[in-house]
Amino acid sequence: MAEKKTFDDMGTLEKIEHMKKLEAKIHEMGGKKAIKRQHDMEKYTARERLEKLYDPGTFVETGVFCKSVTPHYDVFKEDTPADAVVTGYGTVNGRILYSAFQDITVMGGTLGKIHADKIVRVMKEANNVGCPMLYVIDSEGLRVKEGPDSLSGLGDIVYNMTLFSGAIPQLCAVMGSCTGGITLIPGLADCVFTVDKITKMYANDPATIKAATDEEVEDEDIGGAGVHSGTSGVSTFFVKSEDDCIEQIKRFLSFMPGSAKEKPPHVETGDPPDRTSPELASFVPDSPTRPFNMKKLIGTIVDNGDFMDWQDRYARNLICALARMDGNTVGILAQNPMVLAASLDVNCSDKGSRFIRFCDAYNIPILNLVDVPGYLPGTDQEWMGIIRHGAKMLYSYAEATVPEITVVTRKAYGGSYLGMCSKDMGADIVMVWPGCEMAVMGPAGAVNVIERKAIKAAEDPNAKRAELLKEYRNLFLIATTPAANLNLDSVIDPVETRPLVCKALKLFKDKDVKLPYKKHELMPE
Amino acid sequence: MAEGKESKWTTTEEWATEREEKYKEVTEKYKDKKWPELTTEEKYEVFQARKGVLERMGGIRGINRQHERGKYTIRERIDLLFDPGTFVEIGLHCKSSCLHYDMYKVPLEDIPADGIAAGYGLIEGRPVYAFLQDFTCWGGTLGKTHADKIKRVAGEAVQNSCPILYIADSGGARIQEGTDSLAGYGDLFYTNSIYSGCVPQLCAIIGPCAGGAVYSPALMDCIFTVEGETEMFITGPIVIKAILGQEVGKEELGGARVNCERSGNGTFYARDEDECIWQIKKLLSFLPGSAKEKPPYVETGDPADRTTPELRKIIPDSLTEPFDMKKVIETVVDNGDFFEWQELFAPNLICAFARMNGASVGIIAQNPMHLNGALDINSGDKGSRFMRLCDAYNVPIISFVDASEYAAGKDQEVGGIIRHVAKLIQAYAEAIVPKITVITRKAFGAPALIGSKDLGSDLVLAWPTCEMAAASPESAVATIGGDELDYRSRFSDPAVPAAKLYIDEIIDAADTRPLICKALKMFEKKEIDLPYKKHNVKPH
Repeated sequence: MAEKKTFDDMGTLEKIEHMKKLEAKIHEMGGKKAIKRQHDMEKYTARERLEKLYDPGTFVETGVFCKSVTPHYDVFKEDTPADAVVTGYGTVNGRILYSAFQDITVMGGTLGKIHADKIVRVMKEANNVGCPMLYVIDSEGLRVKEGPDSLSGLGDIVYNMTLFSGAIPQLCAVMGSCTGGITLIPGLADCVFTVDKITKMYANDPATIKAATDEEVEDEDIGGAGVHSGTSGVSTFFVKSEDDCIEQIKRFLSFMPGSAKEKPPHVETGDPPDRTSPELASFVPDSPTRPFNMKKLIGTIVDNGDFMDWQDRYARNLICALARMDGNTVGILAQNPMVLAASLDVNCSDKGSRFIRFCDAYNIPILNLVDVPGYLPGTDQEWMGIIRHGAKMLYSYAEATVPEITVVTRKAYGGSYLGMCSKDMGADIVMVWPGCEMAVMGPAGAVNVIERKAIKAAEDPNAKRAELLKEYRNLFLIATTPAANLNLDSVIDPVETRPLVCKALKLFKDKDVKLPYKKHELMPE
Repeated sequence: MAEGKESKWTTTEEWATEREEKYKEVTEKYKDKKWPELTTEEKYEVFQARKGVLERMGGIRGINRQHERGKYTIRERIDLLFDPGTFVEIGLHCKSSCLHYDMYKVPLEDIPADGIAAGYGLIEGRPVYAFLQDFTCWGGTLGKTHADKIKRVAGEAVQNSCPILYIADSGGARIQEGTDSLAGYGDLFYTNSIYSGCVPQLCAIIGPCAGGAVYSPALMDCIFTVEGETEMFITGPIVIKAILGQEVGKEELGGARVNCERSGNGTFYARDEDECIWQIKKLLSFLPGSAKEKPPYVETGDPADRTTPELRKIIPDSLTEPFDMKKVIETVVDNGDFFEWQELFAPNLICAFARMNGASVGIIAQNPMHLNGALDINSGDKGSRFMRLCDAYNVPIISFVDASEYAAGKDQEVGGIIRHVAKLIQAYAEAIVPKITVITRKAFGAPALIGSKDLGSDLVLAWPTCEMAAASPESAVATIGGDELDYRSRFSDPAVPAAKLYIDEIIDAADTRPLICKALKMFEKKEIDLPYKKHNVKPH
């Protein structure tokens, strides 16, 4: 038998052959058994995921031959193909996307120093070329055996995610487990996709919680896609399967620019901007308290009725969505009268303010569809800090320099109206439907305060109150009163909403506002 | 007020009566003359009398009621806050011009200054712009002109790089002015928002500030509250009772303590107004006039090279035994003097202002006495805002680290600890002011990233007791097996991370203060460019 050739003995062609073999071996990831385990859980492997996401043949891998070099626990002696993360770039629907896919089949996808270096390397490149960055998380955590090396690796990722926050879109899909320090990656990303029955994301695992507080919890209770989409607010998009997740990532990317330096791409949708919507003429019920379907209203005015909900399951009293109007991306914020009577509360303020800042960062104009009665009353809201949370909405609207368009469909009361982008909060144009009620507080309360003496002095206080209330309603609840002082710009026929919004978007497209010098704002937490 | 003790009120009944009578007399004297018919001397006489009556606020009844509640009037507050004779008032003659409910017909002296004193003056020798709502006239309610005054003063403060101080004491919107009043609030919120981070905006709520009105303080940098006087809530007890049937008192719902301790809306808690005024002055002393400047340097008399040998013994032998981190801070800073930010909220994370070698610094430190210093949701909110404030106003950040892992509990997980702690760690990473770290003991897992070299700390100093690893021994062993002693013996010596420059130097705890003081000097001109962005998309 011939002696095995060393690398030095090989000719050029043999060297190429040899390298291909090595690479193929690395592409086998953690081996057949580990891959099967992944498939048994209805999960794809890292390399299958990227095949599905990228346009065929466009993915270019970086750092294929990387492996751990840490001496602690002799980790460097172990075989760690690609150091448990596949990184690189390619095109998705023709547009460049950088990405990192953690590979749980190799050392449990744990994050070591080289693993982190690979991720940081592509992040920096994404920022240099102005393209989005995607993190696909599927990892058992920090690679504990690497000690401070792996901690430093995580630190490097976190630092760069912070630098690039708002510079390039950063997406995170949690397709598997994501625990402890790794949760900082979804925590800092612009949006997080979580997959039903597959995502398992928590800071402390059930065993640690049991030891600390004696609470019995299951993975799904604290870390499933359901709890993060519906309760904790960590997840942005709830998806049913990995295939669905890939589709939603593609859809989301279609709305986004490559970086904060660009505008989102224009897409020909075929829906004419001057299309009127006759169904909106009698869309809003006469009674101010009867709910109506705001999502239907959104569907009516956006291009082809197509919009993508943001945090669909969280704080459902406020709808946030991405859509197109006349082919241009818009971010929509709208009350949902079917939930909590559309009032504003702590969670929806967190959701809304982040969405506004997200849109502003990536040059996406904002459209507000308002039907707001006020802030949700209750001791729990007060004690949870509705004051500081609610203030975030106000802050975010004021700070935003993208075009802001407000349409008041039915009512807009007091501080909550300011919290939905009134003229003074920076709206470029405020249009109201003719039946709109706009006032500093509810009519009954207002009359009780202003006319306290007159009501008290009257023979029949109730009759007097009713009379004064009618007077008040006639004076203040007609849209021409605020219109007289330019507190709103125009009273419009609901049927014309779409054409007028499309026109406004065109007019404001080059809007440029300079804010006074600051290092950064200090918005409330 | 105890018998025989001199009253602390200066705007007394006699003081107000005198002004009112003088004004009545002058008005009577010239009632048949129109303004152009007055001689120059007469014009001066009318002007003086009118100025006097406008300064007497809403009149005797309102002033007395304010005093009965133990509250100062705005004129008294101005005297207590500003250096004597330095306050200059703007817009004393302002009044409502609103047509609704004939508001424009309300006489000037009925709502002097439209319910708010505005102007500028010196506080401890430094210029500050201020507006103080006057509860004695029309309950300090906010109308359009009232709001315009605030906007005017705030705009000037930003032009001149001076802090803004707002003393809130108001019944809320002036409902008679309808949507004009609402637009006034809109203007106010917009102003607060766009100036956020330009100049320090301080708010003291000394009285009611309820409903939408409270969003103005919330948009400012910090809120001072006073026990028994502060009333801050969005929905008051009456509405809560009417809608939900919940019985709750004003103090319990939105008093100083509940806001500072539980909801986290309040920043500083004071037992009375005098303490509040002291706190305002104290905070201002640490802050610059604007984001363009550095905070003022103050000669403290504490030598920069003072060593602190007592710190050698402060760390217990056991990793889990708590120690007094506040004692560490006290030992290191100038004259042991530090001023806590949100002292009552999330006590597991200490945030404080102090001076080192006379320079203002912000301190962030785990507190092992609470939750073992673990990070939780509330500490995320508290610490991130504090560090962003330090960064915005060029205050260097010093972190004292004793980091164990995330706080454990179902409520923490479902409450979104992931995003809240991410916010905290992002705030540290984003700050470009000088950052100095002292690792006192534990540096385990993600919470140890606050102060880490990778997140941009300029100097990481570690005491010999520092132990740095990816996870605590307990959770590491749960993952990789083996015993804790074996794990610790691989990583517990700080020489291991120091070998790779994760720690810049291992130091004698006694040298902590001199080394920080030296570093602050070295990093004085630090500058970093961040990649282009409009702003970050920080976690919510």
